[in-house]
Amino acid sequence: MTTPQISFRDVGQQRVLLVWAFLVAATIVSYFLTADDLVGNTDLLAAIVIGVSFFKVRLVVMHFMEISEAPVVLRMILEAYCLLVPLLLISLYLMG
Amino acid sequence: MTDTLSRPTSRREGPPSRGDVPGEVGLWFFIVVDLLVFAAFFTAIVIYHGQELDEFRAGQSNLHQAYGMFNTVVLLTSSLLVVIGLRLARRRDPRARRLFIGAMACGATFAAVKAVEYADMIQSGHTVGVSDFYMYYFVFTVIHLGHVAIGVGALAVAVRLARPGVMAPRRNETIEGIACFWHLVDLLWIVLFALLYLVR
Repeated sequence: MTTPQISFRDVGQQRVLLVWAFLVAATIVSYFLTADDLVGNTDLLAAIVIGVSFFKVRLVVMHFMEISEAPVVLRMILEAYCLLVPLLLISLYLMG
Repeated sequence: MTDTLSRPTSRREGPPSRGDVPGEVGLWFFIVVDLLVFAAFFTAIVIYHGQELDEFRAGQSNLHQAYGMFNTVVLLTSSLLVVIGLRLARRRDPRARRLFIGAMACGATFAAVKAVEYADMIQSGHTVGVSDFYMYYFVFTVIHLGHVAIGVGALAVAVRLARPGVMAPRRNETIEGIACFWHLVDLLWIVLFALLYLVR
């Protein structure tokens, strides 16, 4: 039996490609937003950049690691991480 | 068995059914611990930022943000290759190997850029002893680079497992686990990049 030829569309690429495109765009936007003297480096910008970075982490966890299909316990642990760690970091940043 | 060729004939020939742990359970214990260790690293960076703002900004100003951004895009792309490669590997499509090799090449590129950055910083005298910023930068990015090296080695194993005709038990789970480890490498860098390079 030969392996059937599968076009890329058959393996459900489109959502993954979209996630990747968003991740790259968010990276580039964050880079330009934090470039010197562009927006003014405020606490708000820092909170946004940290928050966006963990939103990116969550996308990788859910859509690349396929955790959205995994047992609920594992998913909840990782969701908690993606929520609590940035909250902690942003709080520490704003207090510092 | 009544369905067409496209229906998975065994549990692991298609995407994991709802409720399956990607890869192996044991690996996830490691991944969660690693995430917690890096959360402590992230916390240390932010606390240091709060305590030594001027020293932090002075050190950060000697980083090349463009290199960091390039490296982030390289790892994001490598993760894309691994996701597609895994899906192909599940269906025993031989093209999976090329994608895993591509991801390895991305890992090597990441390491090469870091080598250039490190050399530049050391030659300019921006080293561990001079400022705590460089201490945090070097220690955490070197630890991350170690993860990259392990990940590239693991991807080499995935390339071997994705060879046509390999009937190893738990072949699919092993490749899944390798893929998950690589995504971990990617996501840890996403945060390190933001905290060391971007957040002023």
